[in-house]
Amino acid sequence: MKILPSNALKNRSLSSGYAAIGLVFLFLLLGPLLTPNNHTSQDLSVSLQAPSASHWVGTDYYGRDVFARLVYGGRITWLVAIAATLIAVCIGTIIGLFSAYRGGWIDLVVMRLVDVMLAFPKLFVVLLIVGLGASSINLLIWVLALFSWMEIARIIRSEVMSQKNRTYIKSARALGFGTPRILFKHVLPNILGPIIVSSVLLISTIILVESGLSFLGLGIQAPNASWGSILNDGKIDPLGTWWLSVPAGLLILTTVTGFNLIGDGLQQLFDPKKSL
Amino acid sequence: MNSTRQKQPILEVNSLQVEYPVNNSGGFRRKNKPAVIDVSFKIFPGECFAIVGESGCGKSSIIEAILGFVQAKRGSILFENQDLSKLSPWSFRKLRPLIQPVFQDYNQALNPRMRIGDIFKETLPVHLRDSQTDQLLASVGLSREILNYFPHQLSGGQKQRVVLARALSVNPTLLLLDEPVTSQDLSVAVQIVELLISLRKTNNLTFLLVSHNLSIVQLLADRVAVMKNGQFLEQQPLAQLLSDPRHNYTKTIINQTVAS
Amino acid sequence: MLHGIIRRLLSAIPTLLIGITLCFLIIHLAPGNPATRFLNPSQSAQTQEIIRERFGINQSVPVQYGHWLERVLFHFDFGYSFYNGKSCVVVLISALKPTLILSFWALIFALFVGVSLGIVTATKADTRFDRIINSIMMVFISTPAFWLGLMFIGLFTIRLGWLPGSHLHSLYYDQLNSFGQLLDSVKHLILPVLTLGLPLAATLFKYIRTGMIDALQSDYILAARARGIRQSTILWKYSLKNSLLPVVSLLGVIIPALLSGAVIVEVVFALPGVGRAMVTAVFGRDYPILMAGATLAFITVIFFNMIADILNMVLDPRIRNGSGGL
Repeated sequence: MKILPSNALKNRSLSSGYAAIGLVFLFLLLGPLLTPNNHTSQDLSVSLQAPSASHWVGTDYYGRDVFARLVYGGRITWLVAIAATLIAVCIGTIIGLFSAYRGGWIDLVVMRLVDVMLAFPKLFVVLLIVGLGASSINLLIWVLALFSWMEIARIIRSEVMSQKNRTYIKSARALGFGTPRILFKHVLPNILGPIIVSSVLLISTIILVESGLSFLGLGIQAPNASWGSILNDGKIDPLGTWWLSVPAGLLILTTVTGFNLIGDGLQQLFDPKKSL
Repeated sequence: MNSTRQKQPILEVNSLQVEYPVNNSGGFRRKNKPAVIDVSFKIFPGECFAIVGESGCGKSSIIEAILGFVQAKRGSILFENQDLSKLSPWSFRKLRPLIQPVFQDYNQALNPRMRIGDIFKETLPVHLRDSQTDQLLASVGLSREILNYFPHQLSGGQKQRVVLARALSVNPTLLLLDEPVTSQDLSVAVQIVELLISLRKTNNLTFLLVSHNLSIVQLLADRVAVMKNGQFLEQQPLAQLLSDPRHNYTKTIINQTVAS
Repeated sequence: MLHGIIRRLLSAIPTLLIGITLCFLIIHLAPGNPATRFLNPSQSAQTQEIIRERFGINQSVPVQYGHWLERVLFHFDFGYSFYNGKSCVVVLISALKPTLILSFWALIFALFVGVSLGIVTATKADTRFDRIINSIMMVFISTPAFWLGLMFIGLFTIRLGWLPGSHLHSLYYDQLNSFGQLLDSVKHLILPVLTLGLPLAATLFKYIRTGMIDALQSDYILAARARGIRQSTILWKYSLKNSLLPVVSLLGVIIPALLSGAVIVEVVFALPGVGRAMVTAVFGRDYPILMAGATLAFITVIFFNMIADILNMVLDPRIRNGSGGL
């Protein structure tokens, strides 16, 4: 299997990507063990303190420990991104598979729908829906997924189109296999590469969108944290209260870069010709 | 050899017309290029009917039409007296195992991600799997150990045999052979042809053979049709075609074969 | 080819209709409704009924849809803002200018930087220079725009005081002479344009670089070199054509990205553009503005998509006929 880290050693992108993600993951995993502080407990007497021994990354306006908020916020950010990506990939895969294989007017209608939805600027529209709706993480995940499945569907469609007329698929059809079986057992395993690559890249895109939303105050709401919402706290004096703005931003940067590198690296492995 | 009894044809093609759309960038009108023009023939049980012609003459399109991969513009295709175009998709699918193709590029005919054993797991019913797999492999001259291999680990000849075995595993009545040995080197080709000849007898198969190579046709066919630019120029039993060809084109093909 | 253009234009119509309908649905199916902020239990049933009727909520959704569609398509009337009672169209159009200015310059910047760096690194592929630029660009793609903006403000505005960090003009703008005004505007635009443009430049850079590397290895170029044509000529004639095409097809992706990015940048830099207006409207539950904004954004994207497709049609067949040789 090409995803395995054993391949990473040969590919610079993959190795740096895995390293970055690994580091952040460890941070998120072990963070709570390293600090006794809670991410929601407020203590106004210690608000806006620079990093110290008791608060490794300082405190925010409400006296909450930033380190703890980075850990928990990070977990939420990752959770939202991965969940939304999984949902988007499922929807996009099924729609893309059937639409491309069937062809005909189903394909036309679906592709038109894809075009329409792609024409909505993502942040724009997600901000609308999430802003108007109740502030729930579920809604956020589903809305993000709902406006991301199109990219996956498009990629899958083009892959299926290229496989559709291959001889082994024709043979499968001639043997009398039904469409679902052909799509899931024969086509899908042969197009996994691009699916995985675009899924990984989608994770990083969604992290950026969610952070943007949270920064605006519309994504993850208090008392939950997200890296974006922590940055929102830091916007008044970005370099003055640098512990609010710099670490969260760097974490986002590292995570997104990591996933992008993994995506690029996988792309180089799967299909060197198409890699960007 | 065939008996001259009147039998029902297994396959009957009448006035088949197949056209392919030609891409006109941005135009409203879509032009169609005819690939098969008014082709009719019958194939009787147990015989091998061959279509000979150069590449691009439309012979593969006939196979595509029989398999339902391409819609015929006009004409009808009857298999065991059923009009294929009038069947519901589900009934057609049930018929499919009886008409099995053996495509030209054996390299692409096997799912690159499936082991050979898995291929037979898919086509054979569970309770008979092991015994039937052994039978099939034996009938095409392969041993059990290839079951663990992936297609890319096999040689060209082995792949072609697997393709044949797979086709046979669903108990077909009619085999559609599209240039079955053209891409193989000579020694392998000979073996495959011999295999086909024996299989035809033991499994009671009927063949539709399509090739540009008259030598192969000579080894296998009972009746031959000559095709050029989408049309049948003539249809005759093999011996008659060779001794008394009616078309100049046929004569050209025969001479080329003799020369090479 | 005219056929193709007409066909493209016609096919945009159902897309537009579906999209406009979606805009309506999204707003109306979202939890809450336009009148909630105006209703409260202490009002009499009668008052509530009047309020509901005022907002048309007492009618069924399909009826509301019909009314809305008719108003939008034939009167360009999106209603009036809840916040200040002005016509939505007026509000959005006055907010359009800053967004356009910002997006325009960000795009120019991104094109300039992305394309030129893409071409240069393509010629020096796999050298140290190439790798360094690649890494820098990778960072810019992965940077959240608002963080970049915050860092810029923190550094250049607060710490160093070199550049203003908000608004388009200073307060004393009107008192400046014309040169002063120009300088003032430029100073105000530098940071926002960089913030919006750098990630975009990085994306463009990636695409251009790959395209150029592919093309430079193509047979056409080898043949040209074999004929002794100078490297610089190859680069110019070829790179120009090659860079234009992918950018045109990328327009469909760039425009939504610009719009989304503008939302963030406008909020961070307090620019009175469409993006910021939308965010304010979301917080204020200003439904008419939201519907208007979403619809107009959608129409803009479709419009530019169409232009991109048509441009592609115009440029592409010539290349297919061999005068270019992609």
